[in-house]
Amino acid sequence: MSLSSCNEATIDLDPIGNTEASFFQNEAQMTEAVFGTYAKLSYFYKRGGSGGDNLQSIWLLPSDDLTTPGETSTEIFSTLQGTDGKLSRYFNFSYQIISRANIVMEKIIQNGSFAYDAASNADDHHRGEALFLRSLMYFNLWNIYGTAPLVTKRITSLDDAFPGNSTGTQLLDQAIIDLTEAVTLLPAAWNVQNLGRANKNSARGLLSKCLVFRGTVNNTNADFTAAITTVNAMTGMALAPNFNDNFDGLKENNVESLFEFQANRSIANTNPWVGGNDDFAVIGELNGFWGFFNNQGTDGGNNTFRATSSIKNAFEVGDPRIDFSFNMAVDAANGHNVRKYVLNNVTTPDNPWLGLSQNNPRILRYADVLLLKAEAIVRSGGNLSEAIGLVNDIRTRARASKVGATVPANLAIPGTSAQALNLIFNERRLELAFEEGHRWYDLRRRHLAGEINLTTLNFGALRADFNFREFNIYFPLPEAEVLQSLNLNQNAGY
Amino acid sequence: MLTNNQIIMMRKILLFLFCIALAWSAKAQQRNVTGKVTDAADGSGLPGVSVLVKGTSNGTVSDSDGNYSIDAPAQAVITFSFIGFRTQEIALGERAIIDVSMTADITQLSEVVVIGYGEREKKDLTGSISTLNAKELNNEIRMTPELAMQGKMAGVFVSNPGSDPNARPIIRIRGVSTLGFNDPLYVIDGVPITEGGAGSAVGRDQDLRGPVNIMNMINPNDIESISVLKDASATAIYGVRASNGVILIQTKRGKEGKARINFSSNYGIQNIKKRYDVLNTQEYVNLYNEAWNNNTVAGRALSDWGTLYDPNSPEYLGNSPTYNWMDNATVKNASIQDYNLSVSGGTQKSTYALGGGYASQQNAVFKSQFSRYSFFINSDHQVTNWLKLGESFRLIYSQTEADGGPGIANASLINPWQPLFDPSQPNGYALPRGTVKGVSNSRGFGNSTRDNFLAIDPLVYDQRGMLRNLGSAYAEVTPLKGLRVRGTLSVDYYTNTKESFSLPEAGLYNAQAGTLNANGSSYGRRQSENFNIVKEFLIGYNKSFGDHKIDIVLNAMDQKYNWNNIDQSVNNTGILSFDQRRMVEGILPADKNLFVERNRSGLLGYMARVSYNYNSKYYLDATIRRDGSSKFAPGYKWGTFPAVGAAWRVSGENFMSGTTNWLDDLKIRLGWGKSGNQETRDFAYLSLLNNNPKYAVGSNGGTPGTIVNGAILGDFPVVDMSWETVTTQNIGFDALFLNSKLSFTMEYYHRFTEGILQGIEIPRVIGALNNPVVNLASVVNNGIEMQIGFNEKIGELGIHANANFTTVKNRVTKLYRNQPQGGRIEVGYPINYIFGYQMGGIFQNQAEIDQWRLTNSSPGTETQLSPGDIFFNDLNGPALPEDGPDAYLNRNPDGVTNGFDQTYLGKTIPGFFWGMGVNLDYKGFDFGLTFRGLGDVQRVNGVRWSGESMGNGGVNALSSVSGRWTSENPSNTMPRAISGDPSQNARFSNRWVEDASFFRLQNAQLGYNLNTNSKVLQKMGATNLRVFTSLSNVFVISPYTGLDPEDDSTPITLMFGLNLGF
Repeated sequence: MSLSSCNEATIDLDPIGNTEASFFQNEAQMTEAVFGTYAKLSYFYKRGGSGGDNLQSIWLLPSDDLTTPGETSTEIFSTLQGTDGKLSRYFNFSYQIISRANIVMEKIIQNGSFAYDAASNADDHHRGEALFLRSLMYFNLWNIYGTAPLVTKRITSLDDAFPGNSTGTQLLDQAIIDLTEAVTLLPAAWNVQNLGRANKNSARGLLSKCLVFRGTVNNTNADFTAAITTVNAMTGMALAPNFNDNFDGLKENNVESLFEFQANRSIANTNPWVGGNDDFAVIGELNGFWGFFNNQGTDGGNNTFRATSSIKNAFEVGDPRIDFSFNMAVDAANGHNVRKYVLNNVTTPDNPWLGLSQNNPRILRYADVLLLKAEAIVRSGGNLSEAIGLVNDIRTRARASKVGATVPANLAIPGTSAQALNLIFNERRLELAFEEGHRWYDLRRRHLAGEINLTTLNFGALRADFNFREFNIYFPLPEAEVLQSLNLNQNAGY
Repeated sequence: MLTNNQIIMMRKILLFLFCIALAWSAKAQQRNVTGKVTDAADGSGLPGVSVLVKGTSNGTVSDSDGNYSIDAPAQAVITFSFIGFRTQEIALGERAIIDVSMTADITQLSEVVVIGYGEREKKDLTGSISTLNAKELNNEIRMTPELAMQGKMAGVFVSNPGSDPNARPIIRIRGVSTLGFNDPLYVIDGVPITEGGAGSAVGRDQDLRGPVNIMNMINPNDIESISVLKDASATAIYGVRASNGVILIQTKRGKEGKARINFSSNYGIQNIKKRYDVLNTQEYVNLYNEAWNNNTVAGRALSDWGTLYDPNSPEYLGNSPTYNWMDNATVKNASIQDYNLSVSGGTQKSTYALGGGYASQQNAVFKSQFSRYSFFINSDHQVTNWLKLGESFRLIYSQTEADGGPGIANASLINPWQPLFDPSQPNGYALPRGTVKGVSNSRGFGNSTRDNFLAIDPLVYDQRGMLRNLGSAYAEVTPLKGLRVRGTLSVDYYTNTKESFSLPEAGLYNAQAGTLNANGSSYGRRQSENFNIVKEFLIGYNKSFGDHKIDIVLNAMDQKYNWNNIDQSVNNTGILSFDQRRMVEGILPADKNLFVERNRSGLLGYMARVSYNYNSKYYLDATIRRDGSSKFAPGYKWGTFPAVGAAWRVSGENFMSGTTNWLDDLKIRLGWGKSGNQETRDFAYLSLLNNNPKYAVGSNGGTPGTIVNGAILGDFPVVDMSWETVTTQNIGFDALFLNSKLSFTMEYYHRFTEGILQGIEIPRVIGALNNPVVNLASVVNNGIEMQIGFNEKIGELGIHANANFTTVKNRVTKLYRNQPQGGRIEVGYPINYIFGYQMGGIFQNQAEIDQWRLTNSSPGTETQLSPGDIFFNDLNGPALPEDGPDAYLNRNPDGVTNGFDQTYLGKTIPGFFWGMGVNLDYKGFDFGLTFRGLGDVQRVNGVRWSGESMGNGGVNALSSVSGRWTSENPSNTMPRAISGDPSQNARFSNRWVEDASFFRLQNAQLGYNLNTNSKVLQKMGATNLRVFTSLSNVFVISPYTGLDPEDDSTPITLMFGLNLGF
């Protein structure tokens, strides 16, 4: 034994595994970084602990389409507060995706010169995907919180870690800039092995959506004409032959699909209870979850989400979409009636009582975009018959979804644009019921635009403590985040 | 500049010294007496012995050979006293020469104390060190040594871990100096013990590490001594690992002489007798119906479980008997046993010790158990007169079984109508399933239906086996007298293997699944492998020059640590019994899961210590250590830790000779030093790649997608983090009075922790998964420690008493970016203080609510505000411009009750703690009592929080809810019962915080030692025999309303033991 055994090698250790410095060195690694960004999407859709911890109640419940007798703040509004666990997690996960997207873009700039083949345009694709995913978060954050901070680059110093509230449509503004660029970067389509990744049409779809939303609240004509141009540029999109194809676990990524969360089945090691971190190498996060529509009392019980009589009455008798969307009667035995996604669900065989699903949530589909285009035409003073023609395309497909169906019949051209808008919003409600918060987001932007008054709307809530007030149009930011930051203020009323 | 006061003080001191000098010179008519003082142990001359004519100040000290000369009058009595030896008084008579042979007083100052990289006599210590020797340790029978330390050492706090034999004890030395890893460093026979993931706050690391209780690997019978190094002047030799204090454990080694055999056997039983007072089935149903009636929105009809409580429903359970889960959730007469055999002996050249033991303990809470087989061997060999070799080795195999169970809180608050037994089932156990609203539901007894743990127990296995090898070998060369060169190689290697096995039927009794487990019978095996290798090289030199003694130690250390985790698990094995567990190759790939993870760390350290001592009167120890750690970024790896300790034996001064008749020893100690803490997540300064995320692409028309790898950066690294340092200042004195019958130590300590390493909460907008580790905070701990001992012999009755008392004042003085952290940490408050809402009162009528609403609101919790609801104090609001740019809140009410209004509700670090022991012996009998307690501390009563919330989750309630607010019986302390708690009456507030101080009779013990001359022993050929019995946790007095202020599972333990020596 000698003193020479003490040498610096003992303490000059590298970790086992990759570090930031040793990774992002080639295209395969850059692709992994992109997939890591997509992966966090699962946290919005996975079971998330007990069935009641799933986050979809945030965007599905606050509307006149769905209700629940359960205690859910985004259903009854009066109990909304900054300590809301789900709203906190939603905030965290959104910014984690934004951060991952920002890192991907930072690494493309730093390492792009050697990490990609000169001939490859994967760097453009990757940047486009990062911009798309980040924009999706901006769009959601604007719809949920309204004033959540805008973060456009990776935060590496605590000095930059306390951004203030965003204002107005700042979040949508950034999404529009980013998506405009993403359209130029993304591939027109992916090969079959890569189906499900964002492509040009995905970006165009989300871009037109952001434009119509911004146009609605700011009353800016240019946004509507830009939206029309964007939708017109889409290629290869069509409505699926059957309405129900959009909720069928065996018909994912179909011709109507613009973007979906790619739910899958965990292998061997399902752990759907693990909360909000990727620390544990379990693959439970790959699952989706629809248990809030149909689970038994073990998980959700009577607190399942139910279609309101308002949405039931909105449908014409005989509309084939009814049977694919809900039962007219509440299922007496199980206390539920919604059928979308669960009618042709594909659940995973891992502990069936958990209700883990492989059925992809369709985040953005062509029918939504067509109706947005119709709306943009009307709002920009365009041809009403062109607009109603688009609505009729939707209705035609609905009829085609069931042999012998005659309703919904094609609409006649209304006399005024206000009437046309009402027809379009009604169609949006029927076509997009119980999906992705479409109804709530539509109600919300129209209220912000002064077109409707949500404080007098019948939400169809089952509970007596339902109380929607003007300020509930913005949900509360996480209290912990507000308390910690000198710059971030809580939304008024909370 | 001297102040007037200082000048006056100096004059007084000068006058005092002058008087002593006068007394010294005043010699009466006397004759000369000479002689030699020798050490009875080896006959060598004893220098420095105080020789005094009794009743006068006339005295001298023996010279370096032990010779003395003194003038004394006839008829005088001369006293001979020396630190560590029994004082002797001898009447002069006619003699002119008196030779004295002095015997060591082992229990006192000559006791050798292990101080790290050496040992020292207690009288020569400069640092603050508490010790326990074998005798004190074996006086009480406990499975692990930390419990024997409980209440015995000033400044050392050892919590009651409850009855779980695998629970890690909480040991805190002089308060809580940091936020994360507060455990002291354990050094066993010179080997520093390191554990994988020790300092990581990541839950997964903790899970992988498993419940390893370091102390569990040591059999208390094998321990020679425990030294606790408390101040930096003592701990600095361990540098960066020492900021939480150091516990040095020295095991027994052989002694020259014939082989000595020792056998000990202990057996005991543990019981948890206390019960929470809860509602019976009918009272429970009434309470929930009242809670639903009070809810104007969500009544029983809307509840998933309402029919169970509805007397008109066929599903009504209110007529069920009341079942008692607590009696099944505790284990009656849980056994605890311990058997040891050891042999030691040796020749002049070689000594050895070896031994083995078996111990086992059942948890008094259903259900876990621990068993340990231990073996040790050590030897020392003087090969030549300049070369010494030796080794020590311990082998421990411990096995733990944990079969789950509801625990005390859940078993107490189980809804009282859920049965455990059902004779109609083939195995006799009740299923949790039942019919709810006409549908079969796995939670058939309501929302809080629990797993039937008794049924699951035989279907699920969770075992851990740990094999630990701890060994070290040394070679020591003595080229010159006083110079030693020593090399040591130490290895600590252990594997902790966890095996879990589950049969699908377990799912039937699981209240969430209620069906056969879909994974079939599953088997998992996880192995955590720890390999710690330490190389040390030491040069020591000591020399005396007349009255000067110096001792120099130089040490270099290299420590490498590897931590590997291997996990394999398989599903659908088809295996029907735990005994047949295996993983065959043919299991489908989708049913296999595995990972292997490795981690490592390293530490380099260089240490120098110089100790100087003049005539056992003046001491100076100076230490410097330099440590480099792999935990930190290049440029931040190295830290330097200096320390100085000084002591002055005041009683050794001539001017103190007048006090020798009552004061035997007085030493003042002063210390200052720095030590460090490196324990945190490994490589926290780096941005590590996280490969866990997965995605799937290519799903198409029913063809499932392909799962692809994702890679993310989850860290937000702060590169410039480095050592956390603790600067300790210590001043104290040790005194011995009345012929060493009474000892007293008092110290004041001040510990300043700078740059506490801790993960901080960062804004979520950053999007990181892991909180960065930074040098977060500074904390001051200060207080006093006192230790008193008393030994007296009155005839045949021996009395030994001791008491200790420690105060701790803990304050955070600085925070990173001045940002308060959850948990809760804030400048000006103690670490982890209790933070929540403050209850204002209870609305007694609508008028009070209307009045309150004029100026107050409580967003989200006002929808059903009614009389009987609590209002919480509005204390603060969001920061206003006038609060300045750095303010987080405004300390004035803002009319809104929300997160800003949470405030200080109590502290979790006891302001003081104490211990007290009395031992009496009479002839062969001995009887001892140990008391301990603490005060100035608060605790959250979690069981009461659940049991008085009345409305959440359907758990049972404590009987105390009979005091709840009703219109007939308005209460000012307990709100009304209301389902769903819409006003959040049960939110975390001072309602749930209680005074947790206590006074406990920790242990009572009665023993009998057979006299060495007894015929029984002689017949057996034995040298000693001792039998004893003890009772632990005899009683506790506390204002805390839970079962126990420390841990609800604290059992009463009755033990019997026997020690036999040959």
